[in-house]
Amino acid sequence: MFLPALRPEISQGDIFEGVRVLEILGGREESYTGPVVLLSHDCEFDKPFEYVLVARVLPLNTAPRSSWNDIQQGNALNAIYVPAVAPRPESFINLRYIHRLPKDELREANVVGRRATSMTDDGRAAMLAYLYRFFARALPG
Amino acid sequence: MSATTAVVAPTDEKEVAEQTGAFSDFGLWFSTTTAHPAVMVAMPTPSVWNDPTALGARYYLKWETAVVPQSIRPTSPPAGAPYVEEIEVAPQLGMNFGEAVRRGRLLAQRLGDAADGDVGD
Repeated sequence: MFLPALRPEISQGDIFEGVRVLEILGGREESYTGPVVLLSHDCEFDKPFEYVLVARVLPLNTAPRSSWNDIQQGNALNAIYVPAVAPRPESFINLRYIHRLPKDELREANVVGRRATSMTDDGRAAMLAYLYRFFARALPG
Repeated sequence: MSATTAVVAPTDEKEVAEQTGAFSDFGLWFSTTTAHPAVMVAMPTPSVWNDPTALGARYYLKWETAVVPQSIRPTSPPAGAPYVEEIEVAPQLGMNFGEAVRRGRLLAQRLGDAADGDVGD
């Protein structure tokens, strides 16, 4: 799912550590600091828009234990399984937490070494299929 | 609809001013005040209006307020509880990594064909 080395440029499927997301939801402030995966396509990152879309990456043990096997097997609609790649623990991308984030946040994370890993082409294809399933409630293809 | 408010603890002006929030017909209301050890809550209580009409008994919600410790403030998840993500399992839509790769590539190809070009540009 992941390349042995980072792609040269920030790319779809890259995982960044320690990214802070701050939102006002229903009048209540909610913040998250942790790993995120870049969902937006590479061309979105290259275009002169200020924001891209990311999703939270959470350790598997934050999910109910009864769901771990289903997440690992790809049976969970809102989760994409992310195998452990040291030092990152076994995790999942939670598609219920997709955020808009300034590109500069990711550029800064890249500069200071918090871009942790890049997905293979297969990983990115799989992520597209899982995103389709999450939104369509149907299998693509 | 009737509303009954029972003040069970003195509330100074400053505290009232700091309380924010919004009523929801069927939801819990809570203050966002964090500087005090207690917050105000209101809970809808089903009650019977003892004046039945031709349509039968009527029901309404009675709002009651109380001061509760912030430790049981109705947040989601409850304050102090370990946070657990909600996972929706649908084995009929199961797709392991290999299958997701195959379907994802097919999807990308079809999107590309539909756009008559590289949709990534």
